[in-house]
Amino acid sequence: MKKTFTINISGSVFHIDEDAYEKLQKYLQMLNRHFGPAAEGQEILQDIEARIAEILLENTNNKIEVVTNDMVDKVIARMGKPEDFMEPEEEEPLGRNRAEETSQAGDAKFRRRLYRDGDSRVLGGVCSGMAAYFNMDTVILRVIFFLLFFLIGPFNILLYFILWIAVPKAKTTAQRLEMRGKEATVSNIEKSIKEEMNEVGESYNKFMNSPSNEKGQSRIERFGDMITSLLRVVLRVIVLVFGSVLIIGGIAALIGFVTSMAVGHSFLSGGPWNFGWNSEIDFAALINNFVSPGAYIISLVSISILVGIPILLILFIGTKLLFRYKTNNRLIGLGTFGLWLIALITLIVVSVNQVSNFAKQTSQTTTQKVDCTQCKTLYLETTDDLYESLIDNEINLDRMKIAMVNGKEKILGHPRFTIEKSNGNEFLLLIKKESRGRNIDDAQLNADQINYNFAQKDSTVIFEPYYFLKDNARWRNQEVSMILKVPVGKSVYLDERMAGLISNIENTENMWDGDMIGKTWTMTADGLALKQEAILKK
Amino acid sequence: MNLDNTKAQMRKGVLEYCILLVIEGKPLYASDIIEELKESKMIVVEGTLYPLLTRLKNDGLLSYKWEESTQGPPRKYYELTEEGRYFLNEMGESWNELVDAVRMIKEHK
Repeated sequence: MKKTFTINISGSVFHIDEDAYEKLQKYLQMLNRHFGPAAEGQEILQDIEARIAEILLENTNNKIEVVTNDMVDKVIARMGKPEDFMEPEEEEPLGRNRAEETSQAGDAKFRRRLYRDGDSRVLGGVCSGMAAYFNMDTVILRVIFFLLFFLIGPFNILLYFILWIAVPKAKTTAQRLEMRGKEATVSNIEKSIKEEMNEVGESYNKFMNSPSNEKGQSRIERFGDMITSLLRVVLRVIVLVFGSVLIIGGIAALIGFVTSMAVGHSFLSGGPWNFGWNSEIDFAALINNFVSPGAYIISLVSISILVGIPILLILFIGTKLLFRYKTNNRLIGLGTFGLWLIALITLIVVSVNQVSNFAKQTSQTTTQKVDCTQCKTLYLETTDDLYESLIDNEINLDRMKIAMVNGKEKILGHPRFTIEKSNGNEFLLLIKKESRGRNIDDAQLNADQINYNFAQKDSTVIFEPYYFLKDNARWRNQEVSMILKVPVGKSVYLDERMAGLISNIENTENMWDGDMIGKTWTMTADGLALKQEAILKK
Repeated sequence: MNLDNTKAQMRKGVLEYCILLVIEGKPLYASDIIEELKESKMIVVEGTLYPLLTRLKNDGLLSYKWEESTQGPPRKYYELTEEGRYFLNEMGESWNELVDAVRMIKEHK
């Protein structure tokens, strides 16, 4: 007499002998261990159990009510043990990674994608991956990459690193297949477009054969769907072109920016792509004029990062659009963004810090007697303007500008000149030099950096048209203003060249500064008045 | 080298192709597929089939429907997908190339 158990396999109830039950249980446990706990493995197990239930049902009927040991043996022989399952070699265990491969195989649509080739790599497998994508010899591509160095300098290496980071390595077999694609006898882009067109054709056919079509969908709707498929192809082409433009633009911007930072003259300054950035100026030295030495390097680095990272981003987007690979390096993306933010904050902090360099203002006024007791009219003119052509008009430092003189930078500006009534009998020239600084003493020191001269010859005063800062002086909004005190009854003549200097000279005619030049003015009790006869310059 | 091992390796490579071939004609139950393959002496143990069927399904080459059965638990009713057909054609070409290659090598002896 034997004990029986009542079990259910896949929903069907069986009576089974005790020893048969144990054998069957061991068998099922063995299968369970083999296929693993993942979803796919469990699915296989369920299918097998259902099959076992089917077989057992076939073998039992009203006469034979119990599953016996023999029956179980037969089932096991029929189904086979795990070692008998002819399963193909796997790189990774069943289950989890299959899902990964599945999604990628699904995505691939048998198209070519850019990967790094981990199997044949010198450094990162970048060149071999690209060679596989373009179906070229790896060596040729490596040579091209090397030669690129002579075209764009060290950006060669930068580009390589971008690709190394951004392009994923081909790990699974599916990816390796995608990397190589099918044998191509036509160029790659053409092929992609062809495949795209095929897809359009396929989806159109699928649509024509689909049940919804048979339901008699309106012709307009079907037509519309076809148009959208076509549009997708056009969009893809646009994306490719846009990606190329971004890459080219990004490289140009990168070269222009970095060389103007590092070398002083932009590599591309001669070209038609001068984006309004006057690349004649040595950018690095420019900053030197504003920023105190300690902060100089920091601000330079911050600016490099601030401008450089967006440029790199443009390059990255460009290559991604063109080669269409997935990137999932969130860490690097976040890290780069963080770095950019840090650069921004640093720059802001440094700038704010620098503002304190302008906190206080001093002025010092010197009074000079202008000897003209004999003369009736004092002639005012300037020396020749030697610097006009050298000034960079795009950079405005309040009143001052920057000129490149013999390869060195000079900061200069027009002094202000106005005329007032003198209380005494003499011509007096008041020269006021102003400057800003971190504190009063600092401001004073900065004011001392101002260099301005004028000369007097008989009854002519010859002013210099510009005041300069001494070499290596920092710009702290230094200004020069002059007031000429004219006694009542005396006259002055304003030469045309004074135009740049005069600033709001009060006169009884209410004439605008620009119209005052080339005329003689006499100081009266009410202010400057026009002298009736125009006297020619001697 | 183990003879049985090598023989098994040869079969392993072809098995997926055979399954797709069997299903190509019309949708089939798993048990029908087993019968066909057994008849052609392609497989010996039924357990071989289920992992392969599931894998092919997960790769998108097969799809199935559940069908109720009077004789027991519901059964999966398998058929080829579009991708499955494409795969089948590709493998068919590959198979033909292989057969031709082997024949040529044999003839050259």
